[in-house]
Amino acid sequence: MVESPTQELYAGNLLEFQDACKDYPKFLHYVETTILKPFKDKLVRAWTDLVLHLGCKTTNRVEGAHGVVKEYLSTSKGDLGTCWQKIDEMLANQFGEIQSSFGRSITVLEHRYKYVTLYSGLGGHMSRQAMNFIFLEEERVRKTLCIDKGTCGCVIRMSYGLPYACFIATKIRHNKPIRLDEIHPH
Amino acid sequence: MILDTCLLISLAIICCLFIDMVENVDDDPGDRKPSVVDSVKVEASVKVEASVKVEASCVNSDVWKLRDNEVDTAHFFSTRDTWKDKDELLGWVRRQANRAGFMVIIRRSCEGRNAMLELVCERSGEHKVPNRKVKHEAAGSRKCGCLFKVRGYVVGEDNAWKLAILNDVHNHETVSYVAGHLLAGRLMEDDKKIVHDLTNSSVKPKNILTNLKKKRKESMTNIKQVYNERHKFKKAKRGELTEMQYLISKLEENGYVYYIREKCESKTVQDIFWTHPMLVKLFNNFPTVLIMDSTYKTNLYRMPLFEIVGVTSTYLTYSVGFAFMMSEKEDNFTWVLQMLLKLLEPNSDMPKVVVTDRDTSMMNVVANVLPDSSAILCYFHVGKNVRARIITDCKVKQNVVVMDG
Repeated sequence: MVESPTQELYAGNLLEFQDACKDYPKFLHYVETTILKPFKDKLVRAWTDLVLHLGCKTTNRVEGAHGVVKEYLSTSKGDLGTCWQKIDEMLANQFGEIQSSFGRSITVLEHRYKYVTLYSGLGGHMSRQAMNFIFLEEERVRKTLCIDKGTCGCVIRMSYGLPYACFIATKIRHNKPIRLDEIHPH
Repeated sequence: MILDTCLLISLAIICCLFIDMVENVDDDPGDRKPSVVDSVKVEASVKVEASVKVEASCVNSDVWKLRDNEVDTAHFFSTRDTWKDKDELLGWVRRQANRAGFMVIIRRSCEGRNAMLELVCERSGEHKVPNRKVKHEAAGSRKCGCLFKVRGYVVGEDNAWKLAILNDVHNHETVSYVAGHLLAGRLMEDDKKIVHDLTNSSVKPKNILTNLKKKRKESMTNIKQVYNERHKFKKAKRGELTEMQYLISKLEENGYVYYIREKCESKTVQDIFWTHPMLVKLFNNFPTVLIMDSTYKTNLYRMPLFEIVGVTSTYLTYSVGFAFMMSEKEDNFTWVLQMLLKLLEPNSDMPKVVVTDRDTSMMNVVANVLPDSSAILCYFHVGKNVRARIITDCKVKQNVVVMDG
């Protein structure tokens, strides 16, 4: 239910859920009052995909960051000075990692993007991860051949700031490259 | 008859030494074996030849009365060798003492024209009762008034060091190995440097010890000495500063951006927020998504560490800032977020999406401070709550969970 991609599908799933839970009114009441009513637009995919969240729908990333910090701290009994020092060491490594990823994205052009008109304007200006998203989306286009907006959903446009399927489809048909200004500056 | 020969030999020694000790010989108990006397005689004569500066007063009656637990170590130190400098002499004496089974310490030394070095056994002297109360009840002392004493001195124009034995008898037994003695495993200067380096790169003490032992096979260092050195090093690094002052000085030294909030009445620090200038730059480039959460068990004051992370264009996580807070209240969160917004340059975008877990105070604060951003809840956390609720409310574990998907 939470994963329902559109609002109509969500309504259908909600009915199904209510039907499944009708034997447990207390639980159903809890779910409806504490979660669905107040936080529906912050939780269900139909609404969250409307904003530019870059794929972050859980706090996974920050929990992972906590894990990394704690690995560096190695003890839960240090004073603030040692805490800072360990975090400083961690930041230095993290920063190096990010810099090198930028460096790779700028210099490396993957072989699958070479000589393809669609990507000709992007090489060296976009991160490889974002290129990969476009590539996957392009594959989806070639498979489904979607042209109308209904089937494509435009999720990737909304939540990643990248060109979406039907957009790519038109581009392919006209054999034009994707322009940089059609991509979110992130 | 045996007694007579014994006395005769003893008299011969006295003649040889030209020392007036007839009374001692007269006091001598007759049960001493002739062989012992022989060895004493030989060593004593060697000693006299080797050392020029033997003081007659120092050679007291103990030499002649070797009691049960007394040990004579003269043969380890009788030599005519000279050494170039003090350290070489000291090293030689230490090595010999190790072989003999005791440790030497420097009692006195002086530099200059009459440079000298007086070495005694580590068990010399008496235990002084300290004025203040001792920490541990089971404390003891190794001092037993041992009289062993050798002296190094400079002779001639070429500044060579020589060794003189002033007293070579211990009033205690020597041991077969010296590990665990006062100076046995002492860290040398280069060892200390290794310990400091490894401590800086957060290597565990046991691994540091392994490293030291690998560097020097004969090392007798034990783990306690490594711990002590680490403690000394850390303490020296902080110096006189209090913990908070040290933290602030470090933050300033490394060019960090930091904000501190104090409590209204007292001067105690309530919250502290800091971030690296490089991270500020990254934050200004990628402010789109922020994920926030706090974690515990990071420090001994039980303050939660609040961490804000973002996502770079290469899909990596970067940390925007860290904050230690007194508590997880709305007030604290508001302050931290306001500080965070201070970091943003005026013309850059505002954070568009904020992901949090289902913490009401946090959500309220985000709505207040960042009104034009949209908040997302972590559906994993919500799902966890729902699952917990299912178990309590329905007493059914599996099938509903599957349907909820």
